Amino acid sequence: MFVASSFARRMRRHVLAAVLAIATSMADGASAQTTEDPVYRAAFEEMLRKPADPPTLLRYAELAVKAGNLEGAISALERLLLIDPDLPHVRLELGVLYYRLGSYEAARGYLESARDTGRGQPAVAEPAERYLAEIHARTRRFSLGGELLGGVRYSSNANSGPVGTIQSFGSSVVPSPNISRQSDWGVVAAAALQGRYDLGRQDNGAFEADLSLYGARQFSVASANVALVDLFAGPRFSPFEGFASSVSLKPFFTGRYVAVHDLTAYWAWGAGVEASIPVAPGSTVDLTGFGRRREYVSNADAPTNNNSTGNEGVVAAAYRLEVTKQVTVTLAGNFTRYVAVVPSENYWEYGLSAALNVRFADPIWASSRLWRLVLSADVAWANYDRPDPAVDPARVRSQNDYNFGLVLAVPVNDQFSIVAQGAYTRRDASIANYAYDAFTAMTGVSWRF
Amino acid sequence: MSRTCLISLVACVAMASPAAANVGVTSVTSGDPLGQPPAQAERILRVGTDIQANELVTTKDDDRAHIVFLDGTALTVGPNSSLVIDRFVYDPNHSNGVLSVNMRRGVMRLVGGALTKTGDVRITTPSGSLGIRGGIVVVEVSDTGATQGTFLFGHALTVTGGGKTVVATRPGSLIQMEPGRVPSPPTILPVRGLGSTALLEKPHGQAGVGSGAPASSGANLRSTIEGAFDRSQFSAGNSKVPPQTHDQKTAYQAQQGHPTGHAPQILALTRLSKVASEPISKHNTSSGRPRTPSHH
Repeated sequence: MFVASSFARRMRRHVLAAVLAIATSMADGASAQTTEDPVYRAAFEEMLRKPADPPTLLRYAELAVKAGNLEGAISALERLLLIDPDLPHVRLELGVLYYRLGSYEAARGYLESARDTGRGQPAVAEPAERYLAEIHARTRRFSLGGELLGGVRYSSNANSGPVGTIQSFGSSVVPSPNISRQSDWGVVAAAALQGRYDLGRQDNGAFEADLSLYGARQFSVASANVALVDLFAGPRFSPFEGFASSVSLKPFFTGRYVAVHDLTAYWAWGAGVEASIPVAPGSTVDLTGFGRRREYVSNADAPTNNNSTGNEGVVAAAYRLEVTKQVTVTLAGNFTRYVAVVPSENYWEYGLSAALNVRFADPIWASSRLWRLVLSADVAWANYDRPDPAVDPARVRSQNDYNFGLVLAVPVNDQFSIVAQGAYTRRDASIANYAYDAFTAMTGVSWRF
Repeated sequence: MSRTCLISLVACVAMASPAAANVGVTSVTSGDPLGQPPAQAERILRVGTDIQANELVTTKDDDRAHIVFLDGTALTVGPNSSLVIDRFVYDPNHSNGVLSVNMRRGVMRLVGGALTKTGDVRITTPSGSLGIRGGIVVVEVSDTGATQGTFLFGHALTVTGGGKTVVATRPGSLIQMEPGRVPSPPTILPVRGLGSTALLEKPHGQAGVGSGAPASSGANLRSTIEGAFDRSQFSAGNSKVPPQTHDQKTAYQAQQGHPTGHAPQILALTRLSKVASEPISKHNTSSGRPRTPSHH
C-alpha cells in the first residue's frame, strides 16, 4: 500500500513537472525581443559610442541574438577578432552564428579554427565538433538519414475484426473466429529513410527520396501479419522569382507494396506534385496532388481481392505552424476519389487531422535532451458508390474513421530514444463487416541516424 | 556631438551636405589604415575616428580597419585595399536608406545593418557592380580589377557586368567577374573554400585595438575580453544550444525559412500501421466471399 501510494506521488510529481516543462517551452517564444526594443536600441547606441569596448560589444551581441539580428552579433564578434585573433570562444560563437544563418562554409572556418587553437579545451572543442559534424551532414552532396524503430505492441483487435454478426449476400451470419476481433501481442519493426542529392542549384534544389518500411508479426493472429514498403521520390526546386521565390515544388513518383499474412495484397504506383509554401515566418502550407494505380492481387485469403483494383486521385493540404521553437501544430485535410474495376469498390473520402508536437525539458533526470510528446487526432468519412452484392445488395457502404494517438519519445542519447505509443482507432460503418475499434499500445526503441 | 544626435540627424545632414556628414565610426583598426575625407588631409584612422561620406579608405600590407555605419552595417577592410564610401543616407525613423561603396582593390567583408533589410548596398568595382540585400558578403578585387563576390548570407547577391546580371541566393555561393566580361554563373564554394576571410583578421600573435587606443598589452586585452565573455550569457543562447539534427530540418527547409520541429519520423511510421491495417480489414470481408461473385 505504501509502495503504491509512494509510486502514485512520484508519478504525480513527474506529471506535474512534465506539464510545467511543456508550459515553459510554450512560453519561451513570447519573450523574444526585437530591434525596436528600447534595451536593444540603447545597447546599439552604446556600441557606437564604445565601438571597441569588449564588454559593450558582448552585451550588444547578446541582445542582437535575442532580437533575431544574428548579423549584428556577427559584426560585434568579428570586431573582437580584429582586436585579438586568438579567442577560441569567440570563434566558436561566430561559427555557431553562421551555422544558424545557414552559411555553412563560414561556420566551418570559425569552428575548425576554434577547435584547433588548443586553448579553451574541451569547452570549445566539444561543441565545435558537434556543430562541425552537423555541418558535414548538411553539406554532403548526397545524404542519407532516417529512423529505425522496433518494439512490442499489444492490440485489443489485432485483425481489425468486427464485433457480432456480419453481412454475407444480404444475410446476417456469424463470422468465423478468425475474422472476429482478436486481441494479440506482436512485434513491429519500421524504418523511415530519407535520401537527398544536392543538385547544386541556387534554390537548394535536390533530388529527394523517402522510403518507408513497416512490418508487424503477430504472436497468434497470423492473418494480421503485414509488410509494407512505401516510396516517394522526386526533385525539389523553386521555379519562381520575386515574392514566390520561397515556394518549392516537388514532382514525385510514388510506389507502394503491401502484403498481409505473407500474401501480396496490392501494388500501387503513381505520380504527383507537392508545393511547399511558406506563408509567414514559422508557418508553411503544403499542397499535394497525385494520381495512383492500385493493383490488388487475389490470393487464398482474399480470393476477390482483384475486384478492388483501380485508380485514385488525392489532393491534400497541410498547414504547419511553429508556435514556439518547441511547439509545432499541424492541421491537414485530404480528399480522395477511388474508382475501381468493380463499381461497388468506388468511393469518395474526406479526412481532417491535427497534431500537436511538443518538445520539452527532461522532467525526471534533468538531462539536456528534450523529450517529445505528439498528440494526434484524425477523422475520415468515406462513402461508396454502390452496394456490394456479395456483402449486402441493399445497403451502400459508408464509414467514419476516428483515430487518436499519443507518442512519447524519451531520448537516451543523440541517436537512441525509448518510444511509447498509445492509440485508439474506431470505425463506424453502415455495414457491420467494416466496423471495428481497437486500442493499441506499443513500446520500443528508435534509432536515428 | 553624441552618436544619438548623429543618428537622428544623419539623414538630413547627409542629403543636404553629403561631403561633410559623418556616416559611421572607425571601430577597430590594425596597423595604420588611412582615411581621407573630401577636402581634408589624409589621416590615420584610429578607434573612434568618424567616417565621412565620400571618404577614401586605404590600407597597406599589415593594415585592417573595421567601420560601423550608423545603421549598424559593418565594413571590414583587409590589407592592400582602397575604397571610397560613395554615399550613405539613412533614415533611422524608417530604417531605410542607401549605401554605396566604390572598391578599387583589396578585400572587404560587409555585414548588413538596418538599411540593408529594405534596400541594396551597392558596391562598384572596376569589373561591374554588386548589390547586396540584407546579408553578409566578402568582396575581393585584384590589381587587374577582377572581382570575386562571395555570398555568405542574405536575400541575394546581384552581380552586374558586361550587360548581364547574375544572382546568387544560396549562402556559400561565389560569383566571379573580370573587367569587360559578363559575370560567371554562381558556383557553390568547395569545402574550406573561403580562404579570403583570413585576410580580414589580425594575424595570430598580435593583439590590440589599433593605433590611438589606450596603451594595453595583448595579454591584458585578451583577459579583458575573455573575462567579459565569461560574464556574459552569450554562449547560453548560442553555442550551448545543440544543433538541430539534419532530419529535423533539412538544409533546403532551413534556407527557405520553413518551420522547425517537424513531426518525428515515429509519427510517419505509426501512420504506416494505419495504412497496413486497411487491407487486413479488406481481407476479413473478402475471405468470406465465394471465389467469383458470379457464382452467387
